[in-house]
Amino acid sequence: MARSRLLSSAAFRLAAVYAVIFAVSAASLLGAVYVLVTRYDQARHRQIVHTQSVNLLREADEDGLGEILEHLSAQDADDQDRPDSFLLIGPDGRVMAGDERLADTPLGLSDITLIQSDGAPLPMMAVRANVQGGVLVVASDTADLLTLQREMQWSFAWAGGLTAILAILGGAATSILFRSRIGMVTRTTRRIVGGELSERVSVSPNDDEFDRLAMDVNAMLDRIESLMEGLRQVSNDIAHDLRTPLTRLRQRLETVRNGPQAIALYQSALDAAVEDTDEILATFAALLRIAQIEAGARKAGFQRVDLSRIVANVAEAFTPSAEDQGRRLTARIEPDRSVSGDPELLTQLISNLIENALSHTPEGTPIEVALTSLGDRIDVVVSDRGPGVPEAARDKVFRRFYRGDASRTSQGNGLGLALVAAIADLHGMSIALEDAQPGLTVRLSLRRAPEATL
Amino acid sequence: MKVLVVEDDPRIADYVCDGLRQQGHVVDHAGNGRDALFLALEPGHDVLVVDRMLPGMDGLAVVRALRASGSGVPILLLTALGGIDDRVEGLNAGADDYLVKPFAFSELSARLAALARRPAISARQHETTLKVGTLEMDLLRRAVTREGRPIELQPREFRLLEVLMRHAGEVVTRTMLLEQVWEFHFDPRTNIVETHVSRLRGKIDREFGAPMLHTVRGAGYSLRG
Repeated sequence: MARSRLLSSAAFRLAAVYAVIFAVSAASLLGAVYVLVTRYDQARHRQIVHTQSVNLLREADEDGLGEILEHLSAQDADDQDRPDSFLLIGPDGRVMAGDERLADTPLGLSDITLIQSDGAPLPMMAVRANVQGGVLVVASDTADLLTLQREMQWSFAWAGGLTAILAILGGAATSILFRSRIGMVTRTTRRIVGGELSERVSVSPNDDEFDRLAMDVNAMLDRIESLMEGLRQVSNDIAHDLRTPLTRLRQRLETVRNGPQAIALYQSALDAAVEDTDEILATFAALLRIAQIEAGARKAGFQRVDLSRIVANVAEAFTPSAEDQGRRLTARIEPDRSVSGDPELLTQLISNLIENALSHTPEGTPIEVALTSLGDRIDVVVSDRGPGVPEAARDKVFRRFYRGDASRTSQGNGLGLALVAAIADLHGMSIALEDAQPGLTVRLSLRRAPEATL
Repeated sequence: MKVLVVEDDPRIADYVCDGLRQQGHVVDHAGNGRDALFLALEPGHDVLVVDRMLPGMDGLAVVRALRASGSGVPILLLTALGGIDDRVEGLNAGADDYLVKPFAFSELSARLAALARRPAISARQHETTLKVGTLEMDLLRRAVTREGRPIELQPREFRLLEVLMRHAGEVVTRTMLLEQVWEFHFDPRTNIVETHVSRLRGKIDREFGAPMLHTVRGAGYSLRG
């Protein structure tokens, strides 16, 4: 089982493949060296016997056989032209000088083997040529070539063996390294599967592929965790904040059932019940909407939208209602400022901000909506002259169901600004709450859409 | 009118079918996409109500298949609460309108009436003047008169009146107005529609004898000549 696990390891297979490739390349390199050295030495021997025989033949043509016999018989070791071994046969077929074992050498150049007195073979390269009715054989000892080849074979075997061992060790080391790094990721993910959602894969300072993988896995885990947290939050919110209106609805229905039986009472109670239900459904829809926007699903539908037109349209829509409340709603909007986004959501975003100002300030309080741009940055500002939001509460207003002390009694489901935050986040906008002295300024900042895209 | 309701949930199907029958409509019902296609390919329905989620073949696929077969019957798609992409997907598939479940029956009824009359309205789309009773609207000059007397309207009031005049005699709901006049595909808590309607009423009705712009309790508004 251990063997099959080793074989099934990708790291081991990779290491094995590398070892084989390494061994094959080393073997072919050594093989090439072997062939080249052998060829070179053979060529050298061929050159020697060829030169010696040509010189001797020229000598014989000029001075006769007697002269080369004398030349060959001289025991001058320094003579370059003196062959290792030779045979001279006269025109009468008699051996005039030299080694008689060379008599069987075929005509021309050939490899032959002589048997030495101790029985050991002696490889030679020989040339046989006819000369003045006789025969001349010149031979060169090639035993050095054999020795060289044998030595090469030995050293190559050693080098090959060492290479193989190194390749296997390197492969094993790589394999172990891979397995330990991947093992860390695996152990972490198993713990996460086991429920420890806050676990993270450790990242070394090397910034290698494994670290980048680990960082990607961690980023993915962060995202999953925040989505899970969002889901948990939504469930809690639903549980807490839908309980109140559901309880109220139930009490209302119960009161009517136990009260006097009058059609008029029933009708007004039913109308009220339908209204309560609609309110619950609206809260429910808003929660689902926030959750979907936070999940980022909507981003696929982004297009180039004229934000100026949207802001102006929404401000205009609310103007009569504001006037009815004795307020002045002024809009200061730079035209033709486009962004990449979802027109429906951006409309709701601006609408929620204006409604927020309308419902949290006393009647008569003026509201200003402005769209300004500086470079490629666009600011949308909704400010009022109402009581404002205390510094400490500014982070909390974007939470679901958060309601400031002052707004406990006013209508609304406490989801308006949470939806604003979700939509702004989806569009990469930053939201800042500022003190309008007095009042509240909500500032949205985002980048303009590039001209040519979308 | 003759309506085909495609809805798998028997309780919602009964609610819709019974309600429509009570209003005097002829109603066919299909519980799945295949039956729906079979029934819808026979001509004769004035309007279709198709649920987005159906067993087997889903509502969008039914709409696409019908449009691919060349059918131009008006279709209202019922979508689930909170499915924020359903509207765009549904309209892209070829549906003409959508309604989020759960809905008030008056909303469904008003939208179906508007849809059934849609071919007639589109046929008159190129007309440059609208006329309801003594009320006249010149779309080119953007001028409105009642009994020949000019009435000054703000741009949104003009658009509001145009929608009401195109649907004269029908009930137009608050959400239909929000969508068609302001492009609001959500329900603001502020009484935008009410204030605009009240201002419009002040301009077209106040100084004249019989009111034309009526509030239909629990449903919406209706302009009658």
